[in-house]
Amino acid sequence: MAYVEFRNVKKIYKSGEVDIPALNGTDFIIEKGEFCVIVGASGAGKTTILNILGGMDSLTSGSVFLDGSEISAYSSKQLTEYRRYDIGFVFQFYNLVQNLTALENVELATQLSKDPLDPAKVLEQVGLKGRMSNFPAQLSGGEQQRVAIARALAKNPKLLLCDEPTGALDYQTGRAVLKLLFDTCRERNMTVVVITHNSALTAMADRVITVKNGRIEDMYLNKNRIDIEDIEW
Amino acid sequence: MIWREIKSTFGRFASVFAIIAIGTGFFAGVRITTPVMLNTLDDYYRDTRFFDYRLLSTIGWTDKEVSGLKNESGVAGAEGSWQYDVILKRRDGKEAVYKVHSITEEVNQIQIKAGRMPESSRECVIDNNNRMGLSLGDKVYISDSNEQDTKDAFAADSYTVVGFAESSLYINFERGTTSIGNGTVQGFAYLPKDAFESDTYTEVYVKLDTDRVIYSRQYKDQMDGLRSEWETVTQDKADERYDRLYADAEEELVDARAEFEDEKNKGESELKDAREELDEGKQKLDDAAVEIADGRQKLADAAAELEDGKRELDDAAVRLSDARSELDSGYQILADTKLQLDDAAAALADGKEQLNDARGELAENKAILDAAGAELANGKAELDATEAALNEFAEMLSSGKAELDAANEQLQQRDAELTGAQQEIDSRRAEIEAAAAAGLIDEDAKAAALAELDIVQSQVDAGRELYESALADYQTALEEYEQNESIYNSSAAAYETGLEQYQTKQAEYEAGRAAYDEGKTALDNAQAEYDSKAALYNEGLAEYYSALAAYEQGVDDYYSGLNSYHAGLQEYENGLAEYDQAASDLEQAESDYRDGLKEYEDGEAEYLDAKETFDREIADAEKELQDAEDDLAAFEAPDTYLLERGTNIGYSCFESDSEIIKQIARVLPIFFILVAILVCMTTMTRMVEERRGQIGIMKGLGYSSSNIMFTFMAYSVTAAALGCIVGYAAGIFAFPTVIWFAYNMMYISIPLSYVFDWKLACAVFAVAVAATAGTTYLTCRNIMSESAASLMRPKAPKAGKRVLLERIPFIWKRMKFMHKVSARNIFRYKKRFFMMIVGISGCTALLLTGFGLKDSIATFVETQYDEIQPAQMGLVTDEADDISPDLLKTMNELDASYFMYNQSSWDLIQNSRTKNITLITPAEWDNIDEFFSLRTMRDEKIAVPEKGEALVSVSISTRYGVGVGDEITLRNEDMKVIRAKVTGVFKNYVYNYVVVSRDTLADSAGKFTVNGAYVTVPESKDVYEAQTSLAKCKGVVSVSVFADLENMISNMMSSLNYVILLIIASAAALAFVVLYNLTNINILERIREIATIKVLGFRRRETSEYVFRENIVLTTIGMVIGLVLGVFLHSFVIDQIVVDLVYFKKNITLLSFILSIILTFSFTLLVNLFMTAKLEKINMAESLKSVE
Repeated sequence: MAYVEFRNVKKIYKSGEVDIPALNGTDFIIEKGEFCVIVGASGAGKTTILNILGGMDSLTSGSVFLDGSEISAYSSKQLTEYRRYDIGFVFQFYNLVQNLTALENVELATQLSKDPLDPAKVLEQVGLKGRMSNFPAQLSGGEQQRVAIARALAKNPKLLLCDEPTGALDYQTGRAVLKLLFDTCRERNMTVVVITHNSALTAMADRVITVKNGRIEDMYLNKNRIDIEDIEW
Repeated sequence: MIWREIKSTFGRFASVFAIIAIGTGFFAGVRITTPVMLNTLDDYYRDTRFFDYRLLSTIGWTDKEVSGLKNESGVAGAEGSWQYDVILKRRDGKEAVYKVHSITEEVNQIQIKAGRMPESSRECVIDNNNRMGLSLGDKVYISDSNEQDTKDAFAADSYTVVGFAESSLYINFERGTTSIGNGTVQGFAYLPKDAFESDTYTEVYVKLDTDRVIYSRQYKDQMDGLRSEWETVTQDKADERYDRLYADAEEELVDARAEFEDEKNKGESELKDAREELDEGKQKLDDAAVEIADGRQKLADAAAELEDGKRELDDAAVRLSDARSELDSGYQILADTKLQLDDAAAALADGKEQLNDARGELAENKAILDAAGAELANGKAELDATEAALNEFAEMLSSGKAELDAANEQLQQRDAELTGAQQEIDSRRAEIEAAAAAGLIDEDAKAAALAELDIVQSQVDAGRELYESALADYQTALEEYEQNESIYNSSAAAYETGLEQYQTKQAEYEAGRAAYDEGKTALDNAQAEYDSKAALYNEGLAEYYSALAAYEQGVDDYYSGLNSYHAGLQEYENGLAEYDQAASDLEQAESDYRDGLKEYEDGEAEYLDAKETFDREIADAEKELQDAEDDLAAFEAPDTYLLERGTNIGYSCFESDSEIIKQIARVLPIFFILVAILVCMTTMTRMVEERRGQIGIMKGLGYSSSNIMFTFMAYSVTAAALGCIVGYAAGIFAFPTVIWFAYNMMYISIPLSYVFDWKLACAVFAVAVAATAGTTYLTCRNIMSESAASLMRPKAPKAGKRVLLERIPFIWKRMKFMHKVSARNIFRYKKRFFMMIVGISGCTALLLTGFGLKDSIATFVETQYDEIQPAQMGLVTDEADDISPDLLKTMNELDASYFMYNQSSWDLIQNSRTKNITLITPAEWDNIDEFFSLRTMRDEKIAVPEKGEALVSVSISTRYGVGVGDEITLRNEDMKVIRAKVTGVFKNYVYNYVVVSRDTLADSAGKFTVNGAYVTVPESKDVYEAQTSLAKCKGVVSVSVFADLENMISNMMSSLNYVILLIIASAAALAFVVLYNLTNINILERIREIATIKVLGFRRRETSEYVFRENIVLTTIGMVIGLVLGVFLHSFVIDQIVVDLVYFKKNITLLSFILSIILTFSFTLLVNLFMTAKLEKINMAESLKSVE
């Protein structure tokens, strides 16, 4: 079995008497250690996939597996544990705790983990050695996003989920962040899933999953992947 | 627009609504309670026609005065009535003291609560709240243990209970005390007027034509104005009655005196006649008595004589009988003697014969002995001859023996020689043979040797032959000798036998000789004895003959004596008969006399009785007349009393009880208003913040500021107005209801007359709306000043900041990571921080004040009557120099200890204020501690004040600012003045006291008198029994038991518990609203942050802790501040509750602190619990999707 597997996953939002399907029978797999890019237009259902995979949302039918466990069968309590130990999130808007310094934000996550990395070291690795004691308000967007990545990594999760990580960043900064994610994937053999509407990024992925209208339109392994430095958009 | 807004943020709307409702409800409710209570009572008193004046007179009242009073101006009604303290008894014998009134119609109407009004004079109604265990239809009895006067006042001694009633005279449950029974009045009873026997009423109740509200300034002013006028009216009415009574009595007295004199004279003459008759009879009786005495003397003499004669005769008879028996015994002796003499004569003759026989026998024995002596002498000579012959023969034998022995020896020698020789021959022969055999000698030698030997041999053989013949000769001689020897031996034996026989005979002879001598001696003795006996016999015989002659003479004498005795006896018997006749005659005479005497004595007693009765009756009548005259002389003009409503316990208690609520209402509600405004402010601020973007858009679209602001204003004002209306409506209904319910423990349940105070309503509404609108305006004004563009940009999240605590690494380093996070969050939002502190501290402070009030109220009475005034009773006595002897005696009997003092009412004039105080002047200071402990608030002893010095109670000190060293001025109603320096402030909670020494008092008032005492009886005695007996003493005006007072005050104060409960409940509501509101805002503002930590994998509990840890820390801080605030607030409130006669303690118990803390925490935890559910519902995906 694959490391991550979606089997005929459906997610239907009920709004009054109208059913709005967000996912309409989604199947895909991701192997361990892959850098996977899920690409699609706004409202295609990619965030729903991420929420379900991240244990933040439930699904209507179908099943989801990670590393042999069926996440879709988890109770909300088990989902909390799942988020706690197996998942690292990186958000578009960083979602740092404003009242904590960069280091403390990372520490906040490592408090929870069984086998955390050293927060200071992780921050150093993402290039924020000198900014550790700064509050988020004192950091630029890229720096904040790097803190967020450090926070996700420090937990030492099985899966790193990134929702438009570059969405709020300028071009250069976005590239740097993506590089960081890719390097992490390679160096730590971490499975990284990046959601983006920017199809240019598919070039750097090991696996590309294209979502459209709640279904998987295409999924392929990238045979000639290009380094992020060489991609332009 | 507004409705949509309200609907979408209903929680927020509700919280503004609720806080305003609670604030106004509490404020208005507490405020309006006192007016409602007063209004209620005023209505009740008006409906039941409660009196304005109660008139008492020492001579009572009649209908005449009552109708006169009715005609006075301003009088709406007047009615006479009776009132007695009566011991009532149930059928089963149980007794209780009741105040028995007559039913009045024009004033003080009673309300039947069960049953009906009495319709006949034998029916009654009983206190509805003290039914004495009676049911409708039961009979109740006037107990026999009542005073006679009381019993006389009633027409019957039992009444049927037909109803249970309440009376406006008794609106609270105090029934007062009495001097009868156990001293406590159990309840009241009402009887129809015709159930009373007396024609003078004990009191008159007057109802004035006024509708001024009870306790109001107007009413008090009116009463003050009317007082002197009414005192005159009362006195005039009583005086009229007095004059009438006096004249009637005088007339009656004169008639009685005349009647008395008539009766007296008549009685005296009757008594005189009887006396004379009695004296006559007495004379006759005395004569008879003398005669009888004479006769009795004579009879006694005769009796003595007879007695003597009789004694002599008896003696003679004894003597004769003695002589007779003497003669008889003499004769007996004589006969005995004769017999003995005859026996002796016979014995003497026998003795003589025996002597002669013995003498003959003795002579015979002498002859035999002499013959035996001669024979013996012959035997002796024969024996001697035989002995000599034998001796000769023995000598011959021994010489023959010696010859024989010598021959024998020779023979033996010769034999030995021969034997030797032979032996030698034989050995020589053997040698020769041996030598021959050996060849040593030849045959010749041998034959030679042998031949020699044969020669020797023949010589030896010859010798042998000689020897043999000698031996035979010897043998013959020996045989001869032996024959002689045996002859000798037999002869010797015969001799020996002869000798023995002789010796035996010799001994026999000598024994016979001795027996003979013995017999001779005995014979001589017998002869002598015989001779003496013969002489004795002859003597006895002579004696016998002379005694016989004397006896015969005695017999003659006896017979002559006997004859003379019989003659004397006959004479005596004649005398006796004569005596008996005389005695019986006398007896008859005596009996006659006794009958006469008895008759006389009866007559005498009868006379004396009649006399005594007469005297007594006369004396009684005299005294009665005298008393009546004295009474009339002493019949003083009556004293009258004009009693106002204030003398009714219920009326006066109610005023102070309602006053307490009024005072509390002045302080506490302010807190609620304050908190309400704060809550409104934060809520609206939050709302405006949330609508920031919207405002920006509207502004950008061109709406004016006021236009935009209107939405918010309308929102907040709607909430406030609704809250105010609901709160006010609920408050003015709920608070009086609950508090009145509490007061029902002490007061009868009168339906409340609610008051809707429009003025108060408008004021509250205006304040609430203005405050809300004001806060909304202030919040909006800030945001409105920003430009539309900046408003449309999301407001930058509030930057993180380090807190002061981080600069103390010592602590910061030790804190857990999560705690650091919380610490930073707490100080991040300053406004919320202070809101929370204000709300929580307010809540805690209110709780503590509530519990503290309870503590203060619960304990001061106990302290007062257990520690400060440990006496059991207080006595009021007549003014006197010293305690009355009667009272002193009773107290000694009770074994009571007591403390005497003068108690008087004075005004304290301080800073141009006048304050009525009680001045206590002890007679002695020695044992004051046992009755009235004078100690400072710190429990230090206070020195006895010298002249010109005074001690004041702490209530006076605090309320009038009088301290140690200050000078106080006191003035009494006679305008006498005392000025004294305060030397001590003593602990005291009930009444306002000033204590001075007797010199100080005497200096101003002229002299010191005793008019009261504190009394304590030993534990073994019942206090109420003691009270009863003390109350009866002369000079005692009243006795009150402090335990009753203590109970009364305790009861009064216990109703405050409900008020306090109300405060506590309100504080709880306040805390809940504040906490809920703030927590809600807190969560909303930080929803992204919370969603983030949830995504990070915070568990449910961790998430709640992350949020609520701040609440708990803030609660703790607020609580600590609240406790401090509470102590001040409590003290402040206590100072505000000025109940004139009571000073509350300011202590708060530890339990109250603990309860306040626990409750505050409970509210926090409850809110947290409530909000946890809300946290759970936060949707992570939704919350994190975008910036706000």
